Amino acid sequence: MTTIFFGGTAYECQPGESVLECLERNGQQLPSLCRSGTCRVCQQRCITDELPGAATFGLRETAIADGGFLPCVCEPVADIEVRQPAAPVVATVVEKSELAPATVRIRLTPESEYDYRAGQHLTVHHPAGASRPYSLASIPTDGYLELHVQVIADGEVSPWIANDVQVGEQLLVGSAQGESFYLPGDPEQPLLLVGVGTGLAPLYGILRDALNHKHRAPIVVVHAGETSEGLYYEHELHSIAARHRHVAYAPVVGAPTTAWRDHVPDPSEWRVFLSGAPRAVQATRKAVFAAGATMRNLYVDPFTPTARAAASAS
Amino acid sequence: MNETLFDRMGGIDAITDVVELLYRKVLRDDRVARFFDDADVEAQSQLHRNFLVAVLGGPDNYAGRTLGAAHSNLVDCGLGDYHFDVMNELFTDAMLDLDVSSETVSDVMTLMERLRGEVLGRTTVSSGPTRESS
Repeated sequence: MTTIFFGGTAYECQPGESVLECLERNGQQLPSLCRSGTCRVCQQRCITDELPGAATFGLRETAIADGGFLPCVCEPVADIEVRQPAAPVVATVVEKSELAPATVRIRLTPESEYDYRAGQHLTVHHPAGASRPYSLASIPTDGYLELHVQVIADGEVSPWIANDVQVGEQLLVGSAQGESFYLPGDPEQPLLLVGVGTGLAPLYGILRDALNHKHRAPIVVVHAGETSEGLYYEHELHSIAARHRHVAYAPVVGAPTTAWRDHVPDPSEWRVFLSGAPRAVQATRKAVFAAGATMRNLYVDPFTPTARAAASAS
Repeated sequence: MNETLFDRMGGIDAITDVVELLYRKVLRDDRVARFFDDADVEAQSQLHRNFLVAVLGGPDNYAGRTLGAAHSNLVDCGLGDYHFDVMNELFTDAMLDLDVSSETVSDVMTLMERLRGEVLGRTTVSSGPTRESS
């Protein structure tokens, strides 16, 4: 018999019973839909010594690395702790600057321990209640959290960050989420990073993270902006490419849909990260996939609040 | 008990690979790619995979709409027999590329043919996947 730890309480799991069934038998509510390991609605994160294979079937490598599992098809073989999302933390704004027109960078220092992986996103909470996800452009060793905020004129959060938030102010930020991040297991696999606008943010973190992990294979960074003024961090990226001969930086004015082809004729063996405005990202995803990239190697992070909210809930 | 087409195709991993290859072929093919212009390819291919797994006799995890409802917008946009034939051609190619036996491919195509009327909105059948009746 195994024990399930959930919300600070221990539950005994009966033989033949899934984690989901055991928790429900004990009156706990978890979201679920297909209850057979396909829809992933019940996906949670856990700490355990061993998971049955079915419990991670179809999940991304990154999700599995972060303890992701499917409670509906997990008949535990060892004691298992289902992890609750960490509570939001207070973080102090330590720097604020303009990156490009209508694009602001803020750096925050969390007041308590904050775990994340480069490329993940967090939510910034407005004091009036609204919250919006922003990708992390920093890496954990930076010591600060860096966000690139595109200012949406009638937005609820971004104009407030751009116009009202001051250095020294304290904000509430949620725990880091997302499955688009770098895993160091395969330093020989080339990486294609395509960002649209502030979609560069998570990719900038992933690039630096990969280099810190001594990624040896080629890394191609494509940054697309509507105008050349939107191509912020041009100097930083040129500089990284100059220092690392296996890194190529390709700024593009316009859509990135096929711009990566000049650098990556055949993406079938590449790990691909796409991030930014949803239409451009989806079009690029289709083009990269049609050209041969596999689903398991395609990490897509479209910047739509609704999609993100749905992804965080699942 | 007879081996199901699901087993003969190699189970869920093999069917997942076939469907992924099918979608790559579809997006490369001007005859049918336009019907997928607005699709989220990953979500769509997973739904398609789950549907196939169920109709081929594997576990029924299909949580989507009926075939008729799922394709009615596309039929309004001109989806017809020609496109159904192209999809079957690409599906056949994908299976053969991944070493599914020609006998199994032929049986899968016989099954697909039985779904034609429902996909194209000419017949209304069940609310769920039509089970392989073997």
